[in-house]
Amino acid sequence: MSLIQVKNLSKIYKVYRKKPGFLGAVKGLFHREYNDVRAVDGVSFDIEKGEMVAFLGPNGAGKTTTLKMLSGLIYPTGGTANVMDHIPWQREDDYRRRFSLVMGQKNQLWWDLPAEESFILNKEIYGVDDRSYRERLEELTELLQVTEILSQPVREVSLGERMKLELIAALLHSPEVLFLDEPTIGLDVIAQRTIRECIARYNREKDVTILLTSHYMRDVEELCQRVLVINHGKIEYDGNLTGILEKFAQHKLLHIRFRNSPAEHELKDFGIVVKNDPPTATIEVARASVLDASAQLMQKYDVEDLSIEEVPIEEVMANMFETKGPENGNP
Amino acid sequence: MTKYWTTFKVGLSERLVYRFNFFAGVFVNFLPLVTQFFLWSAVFATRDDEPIAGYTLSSMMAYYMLIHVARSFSSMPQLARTTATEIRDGELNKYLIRPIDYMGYTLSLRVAHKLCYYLMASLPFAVVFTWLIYSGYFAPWPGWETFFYFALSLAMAFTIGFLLHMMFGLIGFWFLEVNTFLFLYFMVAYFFSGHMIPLDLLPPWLKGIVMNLPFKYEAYFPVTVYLGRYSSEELMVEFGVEALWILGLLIIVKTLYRRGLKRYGAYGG
Repeated sequence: MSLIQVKNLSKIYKVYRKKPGFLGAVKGLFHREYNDVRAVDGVSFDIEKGEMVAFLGPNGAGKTTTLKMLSGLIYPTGGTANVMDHIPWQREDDYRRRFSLVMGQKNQLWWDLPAEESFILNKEIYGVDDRSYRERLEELTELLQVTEILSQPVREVSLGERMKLELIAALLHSPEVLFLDEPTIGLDVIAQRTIRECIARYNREKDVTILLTSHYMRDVEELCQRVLVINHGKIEYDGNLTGILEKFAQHKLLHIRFRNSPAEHELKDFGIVVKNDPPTATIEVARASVLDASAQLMQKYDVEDLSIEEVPIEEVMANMFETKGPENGNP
Repeated sequence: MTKYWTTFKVGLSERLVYRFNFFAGVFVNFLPLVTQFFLWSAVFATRDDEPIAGYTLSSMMAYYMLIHVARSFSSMPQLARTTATEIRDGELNKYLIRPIDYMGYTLSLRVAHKLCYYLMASLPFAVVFTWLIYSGYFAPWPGWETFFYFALSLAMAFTIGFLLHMMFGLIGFWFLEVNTFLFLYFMVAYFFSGHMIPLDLLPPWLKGIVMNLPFKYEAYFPVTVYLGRYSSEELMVEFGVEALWILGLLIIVKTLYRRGLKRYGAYGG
């Protein structure tokens, strides 16, 4: 049986539709119109123990709402979820001791106190014994390189450092399941990498199951074997990252370096010229004919170098989210 | 229980970050007492120190002094507003995901706040009390029995204050903006708890209503217990009714919390 089972999970928010202006506000006093917003619309998936899965999708796709239901913060409108044999929104202590939720935009530490005080409080809340607490704290602070700032009030440390401290607070009780919502948002490249490495290591060494959302493709590429693409509350893809390209990218990119550059209109016969900066050019070619095109190019022109690349995954996804219009999503 | 004890300790160290602010606040709190003194001295002077509703100038001053003590137990600065804000901004998340009870957590912190306040306030309180006793406004010691009932009424004033503030804070589940409700509650509590004037000065019909509301347990009741205005039977009845109020408010608060969570959107982030 899978560690996390989600079946037909949905969440409909009732949103009050205010008409603009003062008159609208007055009308709202007497008669209120509510809109149903289907934040999550019949989502199903299973996650096995030790998997690291990424949730991808544009803002408002339903990623965070799903995480909130799985961590028991909100009740679903329909469907079921089972995490480690618990129904999350019943919020049993037994369940809450075994998972963690980190939100990149939320702060769980005490603002005016050194992070260590928050850690000690968490230690007591989760009932961690002294020895494992000390061991884990030492391990995590070294891994994330934050030993010196433990005794500084949290408000004085930088965003990147704070995020590391948040992560420590979430890992001290050795959760078996970790939900991460944009853990690297707004961080510099180095802090992002450190946090990524920490997450990867935790997953590898402790067999922790991780479900994360991120807008940074690097996070996803480096961490997750499996991605769930969600848009308008529905899951549109469930598989590995390269599978997305095969399924959704209709083109590949040909980078060519000529010894004698041909005229631009000649290149147009092969596909869409993305960039023409003699002696180099980039052409978008349909997936199926990419080999033919390269063979012809090399035959016809004096080519110094040629490489075939996938379209950047961000672009593929952006196209995917754009073309799938709202006709099947929010009303 | 350790987790609530640790919450208490962390709350204490957090409060001490603001110790100066706190200390200054305690002094500012005493300022109204000075105006009360001048006001009532003037009032009593015009009627040749004739008592008003059983209060002489000295028992009136004792009343206001003791109101300070009672309010220091029952008032909960920022509790309702913080609760409402935490609900609105989704800050409640951090309690909901951890194996801890929000009410217990908030209560532990509040006890820490109070303890910190008494530490800071003990010196100014001692100064004012000494002055009042020295000037003959204040009986130095009410006797062990009265003191015991006074202490009990203070503990219960704390409980009632906590529950009332929490109740208004939980309105945040239903309304984005709770300041109007809070303002209303603060005004009602200021007036009907006996904070502004002794409830005995109210017209009989109004006094009849106010005496049957829970607000008087926040201030008027502990003060009049100290001043020895009740027979032992009356005391038993009053404490019994107060206990029922506490029970009722507890049920209301628990119900509001449970139903509110069904509506909770965990917004933000």
